[in-house]
Amino acid sequence: MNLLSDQSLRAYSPAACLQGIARVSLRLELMFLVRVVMVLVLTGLCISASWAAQTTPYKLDIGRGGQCVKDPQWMRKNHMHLLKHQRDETVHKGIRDDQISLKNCIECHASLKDDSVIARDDSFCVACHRYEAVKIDCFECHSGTRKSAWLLRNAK
Amino acid sequence: MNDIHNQRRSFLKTSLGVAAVAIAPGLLLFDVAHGKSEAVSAKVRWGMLIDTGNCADGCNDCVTACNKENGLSGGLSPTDSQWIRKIEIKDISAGRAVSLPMMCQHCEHPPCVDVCPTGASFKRADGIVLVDKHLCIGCRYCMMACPYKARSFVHEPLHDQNPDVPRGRGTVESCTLCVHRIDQGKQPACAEACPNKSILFGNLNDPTSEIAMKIRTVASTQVRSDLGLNPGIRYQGL
Repeated sequence: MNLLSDQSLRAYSPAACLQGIARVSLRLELMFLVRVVMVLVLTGLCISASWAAQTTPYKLDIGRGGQCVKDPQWMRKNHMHLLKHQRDETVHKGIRDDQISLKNCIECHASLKDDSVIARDDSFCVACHRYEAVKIDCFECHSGTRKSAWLLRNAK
Repeated sequence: MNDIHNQRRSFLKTSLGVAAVAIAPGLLLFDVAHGKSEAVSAKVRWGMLIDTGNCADGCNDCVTACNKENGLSGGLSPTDSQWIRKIEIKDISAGRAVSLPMMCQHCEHPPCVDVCPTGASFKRADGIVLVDKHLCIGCRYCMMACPYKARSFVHEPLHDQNPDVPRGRGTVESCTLCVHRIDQGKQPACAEACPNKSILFGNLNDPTSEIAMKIRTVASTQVRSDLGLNPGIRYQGL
């Protein structure tokens, strides 16, 4: 708007008037281009973010896998709350709901190679927690081995 | 007309029966597959009656079974965990010797719970005294408070624990009455392993249970009953 008013002070001749109009339209075109570029960049960011949400930037052995509680994205965010709630229910009240017990998680997610969720760098619990730099002490007491495999090994 | 009604009735009866037979095992299996979803209640009080007359001198089967079930090393050094141990007592003037297993007595008023600063040591509604190792800070006050010396402290890091029995360094532990087995409807490992059936396990609160009936008829004692802790473990022939 300032530009327009500056020009209008000297815009007595028709030529000067035309020149002014051309400058203004050039400015508008540039601003439009900038907007287009910004929209494109934002869309690109959104797409790459959603792509990243579906894949992991590290190698992960999910064992048998499958989904029995909630979808993977929800579980990534909330599994610790489920486990903590369940541990108090089990220890203090003897409620042994299999579905969200640590043992049941391990039963499906332990590696098919070594029956463990903690044995290797790409094991189910280790890979993610190492990437996120979250130190857990669950497995100082709890077994990280699939129970069926542990029973087989200790049957003798 | 009447005949038609009778036919219809019998058809409905048979189809209901068939449906019940088809659905019932599914429901039962569902219960088995999904574990116990109900909280334990104070209507049950688990206890044991140990017949010292039957307990053979030198037999260690209950201790071995406990060690195997709970993943204990079985070592006897001061830093090894012992959840149950065999002791020999002798009345010196009379010369009568008795052999008996000693472990957490699962008191009704447990001193270990009284002294615990974090609430880790607790009594479950069904009378089992446990340590919540998520809360235990390893201060060992409970070990000092226990008149039965029933608790142990885990000094060394452990590996390859039984998935049903989590144990770890820096926490106190003791006999859990095999709580993981009880919740599955099984007997504690020591009671199952005793060759002379000297350990009778059951619900003290149910007047029709074998243990409650036996306690009513034979003389049994609680160790250090003078402390008024009302232990759930009773001994016969002491």
